[in-house]
Amino acid sequence: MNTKNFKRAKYLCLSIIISLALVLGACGNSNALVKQEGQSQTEKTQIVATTTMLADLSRIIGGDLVKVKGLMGPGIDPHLYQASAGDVSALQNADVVVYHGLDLEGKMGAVFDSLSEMNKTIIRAEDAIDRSDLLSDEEDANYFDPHIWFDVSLWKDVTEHFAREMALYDPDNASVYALNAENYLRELDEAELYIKNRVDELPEDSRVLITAHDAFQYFAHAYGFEVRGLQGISTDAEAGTADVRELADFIIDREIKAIFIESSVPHKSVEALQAAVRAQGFDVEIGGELYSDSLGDQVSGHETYIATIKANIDTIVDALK
Amino acid sequence: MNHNAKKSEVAIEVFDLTVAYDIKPVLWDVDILFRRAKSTAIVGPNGAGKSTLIKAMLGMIRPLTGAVHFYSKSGLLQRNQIAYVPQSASIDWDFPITVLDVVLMGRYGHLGWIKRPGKHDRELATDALEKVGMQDYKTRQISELSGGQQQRVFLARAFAQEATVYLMDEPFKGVDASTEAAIVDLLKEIISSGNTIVLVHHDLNTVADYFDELCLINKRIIAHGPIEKVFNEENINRTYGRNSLAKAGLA
Repeated sequence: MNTKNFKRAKYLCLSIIISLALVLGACGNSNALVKQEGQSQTEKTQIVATTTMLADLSRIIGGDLVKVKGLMGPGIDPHLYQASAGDVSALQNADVVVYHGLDLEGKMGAVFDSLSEMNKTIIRAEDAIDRSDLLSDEEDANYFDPHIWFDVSLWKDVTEHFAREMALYDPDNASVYALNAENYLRELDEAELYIKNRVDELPEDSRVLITAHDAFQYFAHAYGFEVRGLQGISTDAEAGTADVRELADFIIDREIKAIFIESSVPHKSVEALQAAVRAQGFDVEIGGELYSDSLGDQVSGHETYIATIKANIDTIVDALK
Repeated sequence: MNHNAKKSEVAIEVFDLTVAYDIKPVLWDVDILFRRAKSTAIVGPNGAGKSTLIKAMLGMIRPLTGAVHFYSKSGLLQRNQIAYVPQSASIDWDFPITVLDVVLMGRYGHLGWIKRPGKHDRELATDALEKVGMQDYKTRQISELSGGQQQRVFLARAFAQEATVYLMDEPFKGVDASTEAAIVDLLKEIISSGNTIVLVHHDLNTVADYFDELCLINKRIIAHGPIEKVFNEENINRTYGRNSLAKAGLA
């Protein structure tokens, strides 16, 4: 055993002893209120989650047992987000770090690498998904599309994975995480049904979704839409004029009623597309703003995953009807 | 209404319930009263809307129209007084949790947030496990159990909840004979303590032995009432199509 490994093992032993002490202490007064709200904040598991979707999930499954800090606010583009010095220290101090993976947090790879060297509990949404359920980038088969949350059934996989990992981290409260997951999975079932019912309101040839970037592949795959985006999957490349012209022809050809802007992507490319279509004498509406890489904010009332995906399907169906 | 019941005898009132998936109605204009301290089997062909009825009663599916009320003897029931046993657990039970912990989940409605289950809760959970013959598996991981054993644990969880109304979706599906017998005993105990069961069932052979009342359904309520009045060839044929009883070898 080299020194580094030995040091790590020593650290591990120490943390096991400490957590055992905590567990035993908690068992000692199992009839009492062990963790009362507001009284002993420090006992809650500190979770730091990167995206708004994962922060929402952490709060739902963790309930009152956890305190969640989300790094990215509503409307922030995770592809381009860079960790601030404050973020790095929040990540280092967290008990559990939750991130998406699949290169969604494109500029944070080095930060996660350094965390994984620290023996920290890390939960990655990527690990929840069976490889065969992942969709690859049309241009580069080695690169998977990270936008899995648009398919509710995949988000259910993430929910189960998250609850399971939390139960392993905190086995004392495994039943709480299981119960919260079970209840939330039922809510997700209901949300899925809501989406399917709304999609059924559209004639099949109207199920075309045009947005600024190709974030909606999973949505398309799950709910039977054809999607076209101005840019590729990642938002860090901008659309070229050839893309705009080609897509404008497609819109006119298919007589598509509406195209959509996204909360976390600049609007100008979609507005350019609208102008290109109008220049050829066909009118296409901007159907509204979709949430793509983040959830809504509290002002919109769409600050949860379920509210956000329902708002999206309402925007899409109402504009294309 | 198919049969009359005094208000004080009613545990669940379903009024004018219509549910649709994909525009097509799955349940159409359902009015039904479930009586207190009775077990009612909901029986019908595949796609008749049996599970949908249970889910809509629980508010897990939003109906197009209608309302559902649960009553205690004195007024409306609290949510934690209603226990639900799903068809197959909606969670993937490859989950790091012991059998006793799963049953203790049934106690959370009584605890208030963050209070840990106490001695009383553990005793109730252990009793419930004994009722279904699973007391020896208390400390096992739920993932190590067979399907029938898992089903028993989920029934124990519902029982530990000390609910007033139990809604179950095909608890007999795919279980072995001894599990089936354990479930039947549990149902009898629930009824004898004055509580109410509504249960989706698929086996016409056992309906008359296991239940007090029968609700035959095929998108609409076909017939509903005490087993001896409702369980006959004519009603079965109206539910499943002509001569289905003969086909099932029951005539």
